[in-house]
Amino acid sequence: MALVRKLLIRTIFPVNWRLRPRRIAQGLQRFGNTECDSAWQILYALESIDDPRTRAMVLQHAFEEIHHGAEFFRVALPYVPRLPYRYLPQRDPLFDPSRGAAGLADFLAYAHVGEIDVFDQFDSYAAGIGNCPAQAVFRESKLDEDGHVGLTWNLLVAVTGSEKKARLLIWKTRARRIWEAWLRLGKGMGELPLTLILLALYCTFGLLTVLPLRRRLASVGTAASRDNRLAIGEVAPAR
Amino acid sequence: MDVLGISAHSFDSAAALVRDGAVLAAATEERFTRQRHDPNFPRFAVEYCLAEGQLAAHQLDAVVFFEDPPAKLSRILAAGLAGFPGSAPGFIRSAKTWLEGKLWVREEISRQLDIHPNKIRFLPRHRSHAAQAFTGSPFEQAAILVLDNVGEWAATALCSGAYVDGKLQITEHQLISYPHSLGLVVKAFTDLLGFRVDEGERCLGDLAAFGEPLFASRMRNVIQVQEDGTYRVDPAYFRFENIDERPFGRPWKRALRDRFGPPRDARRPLPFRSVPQDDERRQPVDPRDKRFADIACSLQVVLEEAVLALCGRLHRLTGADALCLTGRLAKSLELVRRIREDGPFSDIFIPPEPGEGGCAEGAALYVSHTTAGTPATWSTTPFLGKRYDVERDVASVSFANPSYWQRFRKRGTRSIHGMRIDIETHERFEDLLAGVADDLMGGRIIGWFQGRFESGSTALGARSLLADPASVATARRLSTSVKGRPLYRPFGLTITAEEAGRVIDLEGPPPSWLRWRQSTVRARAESVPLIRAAVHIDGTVRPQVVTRSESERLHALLVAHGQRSGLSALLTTGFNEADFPLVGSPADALIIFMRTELDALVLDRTVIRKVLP
Repeated sequence: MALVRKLLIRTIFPVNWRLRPRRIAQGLQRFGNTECDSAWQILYALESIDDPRTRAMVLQHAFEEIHHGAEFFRVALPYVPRLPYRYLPQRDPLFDPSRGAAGLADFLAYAHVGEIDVFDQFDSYAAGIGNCPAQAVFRESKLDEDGHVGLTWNLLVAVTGSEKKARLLIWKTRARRIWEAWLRLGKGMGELPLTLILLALYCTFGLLTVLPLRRRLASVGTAASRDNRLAIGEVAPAR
Repeated sequence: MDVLGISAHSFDSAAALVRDGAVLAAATEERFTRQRHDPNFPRFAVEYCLAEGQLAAHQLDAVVFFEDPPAKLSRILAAGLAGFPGSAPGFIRSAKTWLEGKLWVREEISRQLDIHPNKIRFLPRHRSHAAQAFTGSPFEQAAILVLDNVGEWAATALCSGAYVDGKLQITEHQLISYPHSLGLVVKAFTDLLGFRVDEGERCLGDLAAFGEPLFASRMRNVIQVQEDGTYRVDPAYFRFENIDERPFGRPWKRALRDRFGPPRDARRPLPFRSVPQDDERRQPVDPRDKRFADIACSLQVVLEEAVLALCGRLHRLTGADALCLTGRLAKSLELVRRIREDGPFSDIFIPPEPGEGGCAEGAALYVSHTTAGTPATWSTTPFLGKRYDVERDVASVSFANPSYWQRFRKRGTRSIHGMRIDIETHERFEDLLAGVADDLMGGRIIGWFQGRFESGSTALGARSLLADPASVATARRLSTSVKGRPLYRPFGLTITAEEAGRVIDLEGPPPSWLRWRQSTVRARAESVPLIRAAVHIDGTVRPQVVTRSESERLHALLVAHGQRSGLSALLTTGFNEADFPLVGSPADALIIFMRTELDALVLDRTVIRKVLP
């Protein structure tokens, strides 16, 4: 699976990205968002850490992720005359504070696996994207992610108490991520028939309603909401 | 009676808890998620509000959503189909987003809060806006003008508010519906001028000061003021249906480009300076750049004409002397100034957060004040956000390695080797004032983190960056090395109520629009040398007048600074970097302190300083 992804990144993505600069900008923004989300997940978990030394270490980790995010946004700018909208996904915390140490261990295992994946992706993108400012960002970020892999592993071992338990947790996390990827694939495939149905509805209703709707929207102030029945020029009677 | 208001799926999602008619807690989601203008369900803001009220969700008497999703969908479908056949991609994208979640808001709230759907109510968006503005105001009776982008259908609402038998009553006199929206026109020009839609609107007002209204007559074809005081937007120039969904399509048609010229390439920075140095004044401006300032200026002029005409009509309809102004356009400081100076109303009130974020408050207030009645006394305050304990963060800073920060510092900031960190915690807050005031006089930039954060997106002294207003060099450093924002944008000026009269014309206690920095004001010429960095190119300032009762600590710092500089005023701006929301937690503040050239950070009673070798 990882091999296929690496191959795709190194072969198809560079071609796809070079065809349209907007795609590069959007791709880099997506990386920026991922890094910012990662920083947020860490800051969220930070709220339940009391030891000041660990807090300093974890805060520094978040700080690095924010720096990576900002760098990806920066290198995305020159590719487009106007910035595409930054897609803002719903924040969904990986850390569940109500589960105490078990919650923290699950979070660290997830973060550890995520850091390994990101390291691999950055490595592949740095090789595939060619000589450009974004390549330098991928390379620098890759080095930092390497450090994060070590940091999350050490923290995970400290929280679980043994390397064996840590490995078991990582294995479970990988299985969970495969399941999540499968669900995403299913959702993506389900979108195709939905798109076709919506397109058919659009064509049918569009043909039938386009002219009256245009007239209605152009006429000043016809209000269509149940609660907005006043038309412009009409004044509500005093209550 | 406990009512929770929620705004979501639009812009600046937020939650607010109203108890017995008064707002107990309110916050925008972006403060918790670090996503500027986060439109997603305000899960963390809701959690905060319930925690602040020491409530479980099932104990709530009602939950009110700030708009009516089915009614809004009817507008989006109509707009999509009216664009047939060119609107197919946008229509399908919209329909999918709505089917995936936006249409099922009742179910979503019910699931997230684990409450029965019967407890959840929808309120038309303009009514949420109107309720927030009127109930927060000191008026017994007032006209209400809602200048929204668009809600369900209404884009502009002319209303009035009064209390009948102790209960709130809002009368809707006239609604102007989609696509005739001043807010959407501003959005479209934001895009044409190369700014990011929903983010760059505030840049237009700042940019307008550098231009001339050369395009005003063309703009009057776009926004047509009618004889009765209403207006009409020519739909031939716009594709507003593209604005509803993300990623945005282009919200304007070729006709607009033909009329006003090609759009700006955002990669080309604008050469204007809010406070130009002498050599910069002499440099000629490229006509290509001047055109963008002229368009912004023309839009501002025509927008003001349209809003003044609306104010005239509203005054005639209601006969009221006082105006409550709200909606996203009420955030335009220049527009508010024009309404104050040339409008027919003698008094004006704008809620601290007049945009969508404030609608959560408005929706909850409406239900509470119409069902349980209005409390005898309650006053609006912007400081309704979360309060954090900073001790753990201060303790962790002792273990930080400032040399390591250098590698991850913000692009364009200075590299400083051998920097160390000095931490001072004081028993009494007053003891830190002298040191901080000396720092400010020495040209240092201070991050100010105190108490509960502001419920909206304007920094009013709980999460602010402060500097000496006399130093243009410090203001430049603040723009480039901390905020990362263009030099044509001016900063705010925070000043004590006692000394405000030296800078602006003010007699008596400051009105709310001055306390919450909601209007530009012309600066007195004699004060300019002391506040030079805060005076925009057109001679105006953006003042926030601080009273001891509203912000005791900030007031004390201003006085301490005044003892050294001769004027109790500070240059001020939001505590954030460009593209990120104002900081919420101490950890967020520390990250900006680590990344940028911020010289010192005041966290409650602790001062953390960067000490250079």
